Amino acid sequence: MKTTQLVFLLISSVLFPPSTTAENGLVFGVLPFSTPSKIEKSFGILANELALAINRPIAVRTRSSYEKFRLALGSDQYDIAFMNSFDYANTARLKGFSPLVMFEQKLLGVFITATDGPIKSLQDLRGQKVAMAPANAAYTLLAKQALLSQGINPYTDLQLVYARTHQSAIQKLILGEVAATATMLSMVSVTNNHLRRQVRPFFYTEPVVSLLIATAPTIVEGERQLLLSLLTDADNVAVSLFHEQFGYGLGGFIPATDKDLSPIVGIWQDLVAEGEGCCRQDTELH
Amino acid sequence: MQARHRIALTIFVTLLAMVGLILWQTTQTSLEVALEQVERTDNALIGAASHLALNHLITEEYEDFQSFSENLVANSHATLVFLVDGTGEIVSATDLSLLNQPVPRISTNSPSHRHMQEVKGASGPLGFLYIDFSNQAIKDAYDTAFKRSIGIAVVGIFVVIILSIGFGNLMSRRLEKFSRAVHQFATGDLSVRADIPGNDEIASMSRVFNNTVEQTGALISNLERREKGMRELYTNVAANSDRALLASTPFLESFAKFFNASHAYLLQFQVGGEEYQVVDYLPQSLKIDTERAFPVADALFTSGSGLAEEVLFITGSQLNGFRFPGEPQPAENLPRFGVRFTVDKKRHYLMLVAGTTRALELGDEEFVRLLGQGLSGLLRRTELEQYLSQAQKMEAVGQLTGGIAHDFNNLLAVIMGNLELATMQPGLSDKVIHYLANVQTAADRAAALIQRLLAFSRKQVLKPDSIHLGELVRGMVDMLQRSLAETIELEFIDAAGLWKCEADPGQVENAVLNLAINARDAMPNGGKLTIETANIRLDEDYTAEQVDVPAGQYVLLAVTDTGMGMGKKVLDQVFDPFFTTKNVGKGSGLGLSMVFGFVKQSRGHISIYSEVGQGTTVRIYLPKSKNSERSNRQQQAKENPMSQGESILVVEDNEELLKMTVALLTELNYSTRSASDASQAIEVLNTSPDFNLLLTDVVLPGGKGGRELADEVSARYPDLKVLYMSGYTENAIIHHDRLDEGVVLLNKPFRKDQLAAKVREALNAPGS
Repeated sequence: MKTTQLVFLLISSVLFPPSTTAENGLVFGVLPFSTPSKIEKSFGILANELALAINRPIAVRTRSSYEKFRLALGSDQYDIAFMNSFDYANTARLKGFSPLVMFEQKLLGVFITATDGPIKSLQDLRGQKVAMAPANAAYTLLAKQALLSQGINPYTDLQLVYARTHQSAIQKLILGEVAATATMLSMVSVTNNHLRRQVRPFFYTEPVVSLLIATAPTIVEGERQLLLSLLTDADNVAVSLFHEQFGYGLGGFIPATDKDLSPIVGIWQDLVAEGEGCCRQDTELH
Repeated sequence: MQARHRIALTIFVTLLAMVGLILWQTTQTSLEVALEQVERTDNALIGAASHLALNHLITEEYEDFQSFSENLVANSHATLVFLVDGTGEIVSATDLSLLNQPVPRISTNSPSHRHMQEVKGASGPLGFLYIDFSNQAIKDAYDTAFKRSIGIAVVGIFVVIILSIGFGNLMSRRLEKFSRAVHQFATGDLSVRADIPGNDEIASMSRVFNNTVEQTGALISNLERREKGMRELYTNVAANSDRALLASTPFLESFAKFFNASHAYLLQFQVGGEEYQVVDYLPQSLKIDTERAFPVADALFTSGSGLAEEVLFITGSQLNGFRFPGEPQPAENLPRFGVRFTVDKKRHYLMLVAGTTRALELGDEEFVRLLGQGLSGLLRRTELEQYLSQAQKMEAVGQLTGGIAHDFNNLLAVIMGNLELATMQPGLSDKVIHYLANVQTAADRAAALIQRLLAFSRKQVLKPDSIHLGELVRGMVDMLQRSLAETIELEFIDAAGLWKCEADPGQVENAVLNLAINARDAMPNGGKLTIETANIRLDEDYTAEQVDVPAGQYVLLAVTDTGMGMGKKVLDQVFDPFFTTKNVGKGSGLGLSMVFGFVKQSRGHISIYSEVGQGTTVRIYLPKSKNSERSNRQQQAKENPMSQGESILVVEDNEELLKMTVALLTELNYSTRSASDASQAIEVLNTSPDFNLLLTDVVLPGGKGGRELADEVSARYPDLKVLYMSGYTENAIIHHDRLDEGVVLLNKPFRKDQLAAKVREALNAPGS
């Protein structure tokens, strides 16, 4: 474990005291992918079902930002957590979290450029402006790792332009502010169909685990099995309702193991080796 | 307190109560609205805060919520905001001293009130949000409502006062105006009027008042006029008391005028079990000339009303014991004389031409009172007088038309006779013959018109027969049906066992036809015409209310249509000659008049009942035949019978007519002589007694008429047959509208064929 990570975990434990839950209760931390009320609405029903299964109250909690979520994740705030695979790789894994279930669909990033633009490969991006989602976003990390794998240093060989959202990053491409954009695959069809703009993918990243639920060591093995059994039960009404409300089209939950997460851990370690997570924070957000 | 003050006070109290009620309701409503507004504001704030609190309870980050809460307290009537998480601890509060403390209580006398909202997520309750709101907003709401109510009350009371005074003055002004008029009237001012416009009760009352004043004025004026008349009457009587009956005529006229009647009003009383009615008084000081009294009474009542059938002169002895109603016993037995005349053989009237002076001595008021007592029993008299007036009018018109018809007939006889003679002249061109034929046609129509006038004036000669009305009408049904429009349904209802009646069948047919045509014209859009017959007995009760209708058995002929009917104004004139509601050229106006005349002349009765929009029924009552076997109908001659060598003496005062008649008889091969009056005729007969026929006008100049001439010469020359000519039958050969037995009459004007037929009839008649 790197020193920086230890410091991070120490600060987290100071800033974030344990969550306020009922006695014997558990806290289900959720990645702040949406507003707190929407997250509570989606995960509240699922949490209630999980609580019934293990006979312990479970309160859904989230944070107002990714950073605060990661800090809470690293400060033992959560007994169960819904996170992306990079959160697991860089934080949860270090706090003893064990993967429980993951979405069936893998995470697949893509580089796109204007249809009639000159960019044909990642090599053509050298010296160009490339738009990406926020620096810590999974797709951003995937894109950086893809560039590294092609011998391109994302921090020096090209000019990264971070956007607040994937849509914003694509907007920059459409407006001609950047030569290419790294984003999720689904945004290609969205852009072409809805924005009536033709963009062209020219590179796909390796598929990795997208989002997963992991349990902290506070959850005993018997409870993990009960939770696993319930979350992978496609006929369970609460689980089905969750997937319907979640609505990102990532398929159902399937059991997740350390082996499933080892590629993302490897990617993260490569990025960390290049300074990611320490001194290469996003500098430009649009 | 004056009326206007009472009215104003009443209006004020009423309006004030209404304003108070409205004010109370407005205040309540205003307060409810304000409180609802406060409540809504509170709920909106806590709803928004609750939604925000949900996010913060999920994220467990309360810095932003703290800022929100402090802003809320700073910018609204919220005084305290705090959030309690699932463990019951206050995790955010605008009063930082409350953090991690239990929820503080709020006292009942606190200047705030508290709202609490549970913050609930999909997984269950996450915490509770408390907001204390200042009571100032509620106080403000109460204050606003109260101030508004006070404002409305002030304005309302001001308006109520203004309205009360205004309405009070308005209403009292009209009342005062009316009151002044009443007071003025009470002082005897009959010119006063309460001119109050509008349709309310006061205006209505003023109109009634004005009407009353007008009527009172008229009444007083009438009384004054009567008083003046009475005084003049006394003056005249006193001044002329020695002029006997001659002086009574202006007296009677004054009396009649005084009571504003066309006939003298009658006083009713009984003498010897018979009912009398006094028509006038005369002072007893008058010397009675009975020889003059009789014709005066006769003229006054017989010719005036046409009702009297019998006139008797009665003496004072027959009046013994009689007193006028209320009349005191006279001091001495004064002579009394009277003229009694009888109507319908049962009602008797008496005109006193001499009698007591008591009536005049009674004084104005008593005299009028007594007269009024007598009049009060004669209410039916007014109705009877209406009939009487109608009868007199018809009589007058009848006399006029009858007279005109007489002269026209003579003229027409000359025209028609000369026409026939002219037509027989040889060598006439076709054009001349055509012209003469046109003149003949016009003359025939004129003669027919004259006949209808005579029918109305009851001066036509009837040929009454005992006829079966039902059979006669049934024989007309086909003809009537053709005369009517297809849209008119004709129904004839003949009573079983119908009596025969006494009437001229030709005139009955004319009457039915006339009534049917009238009915047809009354139903331009179709309808139903019903003709009925029935046996009817008219009793005394009914006939007493009619003029000149004796009680007895009649055969009824009723003609009913479902047409437009007639109003009273039309009904009053419907029998008047030349009165018609039809368009010019559509009717002569003589149809119903002719029917009326024929019915009256036949001793029958006619009545008409009509309602506008419903229809009309004309009922003709013909007297039941006394001799059901009698039948006088004669076959008309088909050809002109010529002379068989007879000679005729023609007596006619109209020279032209005489010449024409002689010429026609010559054409018929009779030998003729002529004379212009009775004496000349007798002279001719004295020199040439071998005449077979005396053809004489009924009315002759020189004092001796045709009837007297015939009587005289018939006595001397028994074989001499007589034929009368007349255009006007009001004479000696006709009694009760019928020719005397054995009399043959030639109606003027006549054509050659009619002359030939009548001459032959007279020559063939059995000897007298």
